[in-house]
Amino acid sequence: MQAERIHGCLEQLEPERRQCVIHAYVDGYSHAEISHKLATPLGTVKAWIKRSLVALRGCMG
Amino acid sequence: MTTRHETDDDALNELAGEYVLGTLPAEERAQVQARLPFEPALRRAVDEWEQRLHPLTALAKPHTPSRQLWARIERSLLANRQTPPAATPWWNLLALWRGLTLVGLSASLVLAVLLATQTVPSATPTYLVVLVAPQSNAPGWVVQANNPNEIQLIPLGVAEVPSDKALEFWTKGDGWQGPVSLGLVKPGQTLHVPLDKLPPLQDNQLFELTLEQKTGSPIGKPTGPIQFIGRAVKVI
Repeated sequence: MQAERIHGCLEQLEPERRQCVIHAYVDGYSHAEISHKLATPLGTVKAWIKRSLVALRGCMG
Repeated sequence: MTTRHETDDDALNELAGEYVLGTLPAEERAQVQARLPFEPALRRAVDEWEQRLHPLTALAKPHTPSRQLWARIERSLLANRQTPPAATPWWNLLALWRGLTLVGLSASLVLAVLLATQTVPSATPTYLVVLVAPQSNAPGWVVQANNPNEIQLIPLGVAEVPSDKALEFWTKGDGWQGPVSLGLVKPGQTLHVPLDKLPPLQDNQLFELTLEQKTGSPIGKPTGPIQFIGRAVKVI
C-alpha cells in the first residue's frame, strides 16, 4: 500500500526532483554530491528537496 | 493566513523529512537525534517519514562488496563475536523461569487430577490388628479394616490345624456382652467379613482365633484354646 503510494507520488514530481529524493534516500548522497551529479547549483538542489518533501507529504498524507 | 502553529508544524516536518532522507549536515543531524527522546512530535514526524520513504529501499541495487570491504566486515564481525557476552544472572534466565513454570503447572495438573479422581477418604478410621500366638507372640494373622463395609483377615503363614478341628474368628468390643463369631477360617486364606451386622470398629477392640470343632463352636461362644489374639490399633 505505502509502497504503491510513494511510487505514485514520486511520479508526480518533476524528474530531476524525483532524482534528488532517490539519490538522497537510496544512494545516500549529500546535497553537494547530488549537486555535482546533476550539475545543478547546491541551492537549487536544497530547494528542490525541500519542495519535494512538502509535495510528498501532501500527496501521501 | 498561516498560523504560527502550522508554521512550526511545517518546519518540524521538513526537518524530520530531511533527517530521514539523510541530507542534514552532520551537526544538525546530531541535534535532531538529541531532541528525539524528548520531543514526541518530532519523533512522530520522523516515524511518519520513515514509513513514507521506507518502500524506496527496494530501489537500492545490491552491491557485491569488494574483497577488502568483505575482509573488513568479517574482521568486525569476529571482533564482535569475541566480546564475551555479559554473564546473565540466574534470575534473569528466561529458560529457567519457563522451566519452573512448566514444572509448577504440571504439578498442579497432577494434583488436580488426583484430587478429582481420588475417592474422598471416608470418616471411618482405619484400624489394624496383628494377631499373635499367645505363647510365642509370633504374628500369624493381620486384620485390616480400611473399608467401612468389611474387614479382612489376612494370613501371614499357614496355621497348623488338626484335621478334626477348625479355626473360628471372634471379636469383642469394650462393653459388649461377649465375643461375637465372625465365622470359620481356612488356614492360609484371606477371610472377608462384612460388617453390616456389627457396631463400628473401635480402638482396642479384641480379635481372636480359637480352635473349635469342625463346624464351629456349638454354643456361639469360644470354647477351645486361643490360637491367635490381638487388639485393634487406630492407624493414623
